[in-house]
Amino acid sequence: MKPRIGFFDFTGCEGCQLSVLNLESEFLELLELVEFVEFREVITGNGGALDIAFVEGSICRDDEVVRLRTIRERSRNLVALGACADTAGVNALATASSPEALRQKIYGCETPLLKTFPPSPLSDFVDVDARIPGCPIDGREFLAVLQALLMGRPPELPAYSLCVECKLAELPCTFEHGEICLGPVTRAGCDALCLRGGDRCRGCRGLIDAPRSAPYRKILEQNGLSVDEILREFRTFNVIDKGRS
Amino acid sequence: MESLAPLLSEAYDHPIWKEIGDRCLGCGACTLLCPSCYCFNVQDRLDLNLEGGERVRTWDSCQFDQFTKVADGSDFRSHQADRQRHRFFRKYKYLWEKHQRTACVGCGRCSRECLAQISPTEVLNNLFATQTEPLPETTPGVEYQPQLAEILAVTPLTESETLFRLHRQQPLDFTPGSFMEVSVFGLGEAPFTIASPPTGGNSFELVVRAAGNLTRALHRLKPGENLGVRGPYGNGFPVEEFTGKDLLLVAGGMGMITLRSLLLTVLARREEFGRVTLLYGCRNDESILFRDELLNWHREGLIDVRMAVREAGGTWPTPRGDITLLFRDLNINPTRGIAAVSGPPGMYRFTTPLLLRLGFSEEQLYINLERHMKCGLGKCGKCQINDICVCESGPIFPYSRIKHLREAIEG
Repeated sequence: MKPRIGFFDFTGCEGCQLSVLNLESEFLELLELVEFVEFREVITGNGGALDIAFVEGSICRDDEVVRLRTIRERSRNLVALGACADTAGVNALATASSPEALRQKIYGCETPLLKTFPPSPLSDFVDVDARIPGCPIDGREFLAVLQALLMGRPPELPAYSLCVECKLAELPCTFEHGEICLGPVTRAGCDALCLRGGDRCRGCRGLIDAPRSAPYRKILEQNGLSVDEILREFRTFNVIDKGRS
Repeated sequence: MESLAPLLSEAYDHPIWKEIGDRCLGCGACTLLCPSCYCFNVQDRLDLNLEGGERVRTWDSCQFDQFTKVADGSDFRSHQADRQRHRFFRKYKYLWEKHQRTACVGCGRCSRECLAQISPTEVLNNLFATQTEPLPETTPGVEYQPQLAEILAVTPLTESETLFRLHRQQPLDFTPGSFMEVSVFGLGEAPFTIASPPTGGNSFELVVRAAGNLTRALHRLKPGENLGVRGPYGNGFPVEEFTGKDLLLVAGGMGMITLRSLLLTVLARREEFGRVTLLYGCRNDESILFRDELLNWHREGLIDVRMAVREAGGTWPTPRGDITLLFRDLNINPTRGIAAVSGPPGMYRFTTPLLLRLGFSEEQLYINLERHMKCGLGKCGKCQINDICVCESGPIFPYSRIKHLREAIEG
């Protein structure tokens, strides 16, 4: 029997699930390998016990917590799919103001359906067996993590920073033309996608395990950033005290 | 280029590694951009169907967190300072020593792309500027160049042996048993064991027996004149391991010179050692070295001195016989003792079995294996005994280390 996998989403844009669907050339081969029993974006129905649950999105309502725990109970492995599930991602920006103030600002009213708490990563509520960082995830990394779990070994994420993939792509350093970049402290694995596109790294994959914060801060300050500006740079994807960042 | 390897040899503990380690981001840009860095990892990449795949080399870097991490979590270069030092040592020392080529082409890409502005040129220039040691050998052969030493005093000891007190510009650091290479312009160079104790000062004593051209020329020198010296070389007695123990010193003839350095070292801190007994055998009364000095220490109760001479008819009532005679009524406890023997190899053939029979272990027995040491650097091969060079590994050895060397004592 083929391993049964399912996809689930909470508070998020579902872009990471789309990244899986975008693996067009590999997708049919993937179907030979595993059975997709639950995937709201392509099929209907509830699949029962699962070998691997890929869970996207952050948790910010009580009913989400209940649903997440049910998924955990029927899944042998639970994988945080994407930044929102892994570190609360951009959702964590909501922690900057009170939920009441935010609701008033966005919706102009208070209703019971909008009762939320500050968005949190999955690991705040359930055990997470593996993580696929990024906003959105990298399809190749999804395949690598899936392969590792199917082979029964712990998936490994790169421990080095994005500078490595940027250098191997022979891209010029953005600091050279005075543009700061979060690459030196951000976990590699995206193959420097944004830099290849002419942008800089904004840290969507989260920090490496041992970021060299002190020398990096010094470099940012030498490039004219104040402490507030540095924190703002990080806040997009790396709100302090959220997830692993 | 050739000066970098010796420069780094002296700089392992230099504070500069911590300084650049604290600046480094560990991003690996330096090694990834280096034309000569080639360290790699090996990974298995599976096909999607999990049935086939390939084994590939992937770029790796000594600057990365996982590069030296092992399964139990320990990391033998855990700080970025260790990794930066390793990078420099590998570029300019390890690969130089392995291939006689440096692993730096001087392109400057690593420093140009380093966000922390770590520049090998600056680091190396800083090391050159702050190195307190004299500049390392920059030209081949400089290690053979003698320094001048001034003769402070000349004291005849016997008819043919004279004690020289010398002074040189640099202080001397050595262990008792080490030697100096002494040269006289135009006549050559020879090794002489240091007769004085290590004090960290600039002056030292040598005993020279007039035997050949060089030594006869040395005897003609007077206080105030200069000669050439190199050294000190060799490994002497591990005096710190002797503290708290009884010492049995056995000297034969000129072997006394080496033991005098050890004796003076011990006497300077007499209370740290147990009983000290000296057995000293000579050819005749006239050839006994440091006789008055030794007898004074004996009378003061500092050491127990026993002498024997092989030839009768001397001016002193010294017992007649070879050194084995002195072992007869010896009252010693070898379990807490050290035996230090210095004399001609022929003497060891008798003294070693006697000492082992007394109960000394092979590790407690130290032997002076002085040979004709020429270069003092382990290169020329003159003092080689089987697989060791005496000037490098000795001349003082524990017996356990050299008993298997057939040319050491039997020859």
